[in-house]
Amino acid sequence: MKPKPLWQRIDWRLMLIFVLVAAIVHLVETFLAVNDQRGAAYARLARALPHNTMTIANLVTPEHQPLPFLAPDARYAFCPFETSDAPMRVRALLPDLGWTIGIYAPDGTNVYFAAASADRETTIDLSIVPADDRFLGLPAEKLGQTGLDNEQTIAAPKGLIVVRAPDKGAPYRAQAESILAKATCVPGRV
Amino acid sequence: MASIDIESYEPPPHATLARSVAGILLRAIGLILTIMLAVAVGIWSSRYMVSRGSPLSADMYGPWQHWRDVGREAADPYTKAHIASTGKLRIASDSAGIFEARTDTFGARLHSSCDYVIEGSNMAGLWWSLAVFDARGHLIANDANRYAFTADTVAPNPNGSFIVTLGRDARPGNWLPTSGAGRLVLVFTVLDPATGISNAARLARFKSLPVIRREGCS
Repeated sequence: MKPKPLWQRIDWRLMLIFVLVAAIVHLVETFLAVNDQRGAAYARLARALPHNTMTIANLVTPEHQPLPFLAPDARYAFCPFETSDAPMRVRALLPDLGWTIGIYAPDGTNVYFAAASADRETTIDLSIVPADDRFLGLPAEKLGQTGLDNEQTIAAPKGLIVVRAPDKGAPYRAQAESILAKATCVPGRV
Repeated sequence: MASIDIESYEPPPHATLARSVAGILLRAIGLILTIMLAVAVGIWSSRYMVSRGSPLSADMYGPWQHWRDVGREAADPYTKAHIASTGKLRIASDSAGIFEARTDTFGARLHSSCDYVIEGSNMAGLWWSLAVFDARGHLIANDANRYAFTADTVAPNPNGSFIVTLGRDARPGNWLPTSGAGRLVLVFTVLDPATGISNAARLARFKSLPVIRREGCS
């Protein structure tokens, strides 16, 4: 008796069930991973650091590495914040190339980012308000009075502020740390 | 009055019945195995695409992997899951270029038993850093306390390009120790200028990423 060709021996109903089940499980697993924020950077740091306070982290070394793949090329100041009780006021000075400030949502989305330019220092003055109280800008005359480069309002109920000072080596660390120490995040009025 | 003709019923022979039951059992086992295999494939493929990336979420530039929408609000679910599950803190891809390499330029896995030379072009006023980690993202302990080079700390060539060497044994120049870490991951970060960068300039940068050349293995 002549054997059936391969395509006739395949059970197409089982094949269809396989593809459908695999696709559904794939999607469910992916969305479960998206929503499982226990291992996210915000969750790890928020567990270890005081909230609504800027904390300068130790120099990143194998013994003090708060997050995986966190580059040891910089000193970091972290501030986990919540704006449920009061808006946050964030101030930081970015004096030179490589200095940055980033505001992250708990899921790792960058809601704000600024980097210093090489030719001049940048002063950052931000207000973070809960999403439903978003404030769409200051009047022009007030902006003129402050003389700050980046006075903005951002909407975020909670998240993480990261100020990053590039590590130029031991002789420059004290200076970088003193500038980093002036970065603040405090609850207060907008 | 209705009547039922029970004499017309003939029970099937034992062999036919056994064949039917065996057929049903085989089908059930086939269905269960198919579903189990599908569940395993669904979970594995999701985890692989989340942890290692795929063309849906990441681009490859030679050995360098770049998650296209990392840190963006509109990032795809694989990118969001990658960031959530790995605990990485990444600058958004519209503010910096962050590239990870797990292989050399010729596709061989980076490993601490080998020596590598990383040659980068002049980054023309941009701030960059090159750091080495083990496969789990931990820094590699070493006596020199050296884990990364940056635009500030590297000793560049006269034309602004740079060479960084990777290996277990100390070398002159820009040497990053790898000790006995096993598999390695290189992370190359380039910050965009504060004034922003055009898409054309960003694409040009992607084409001039450092070359990773293996020198030898012990």
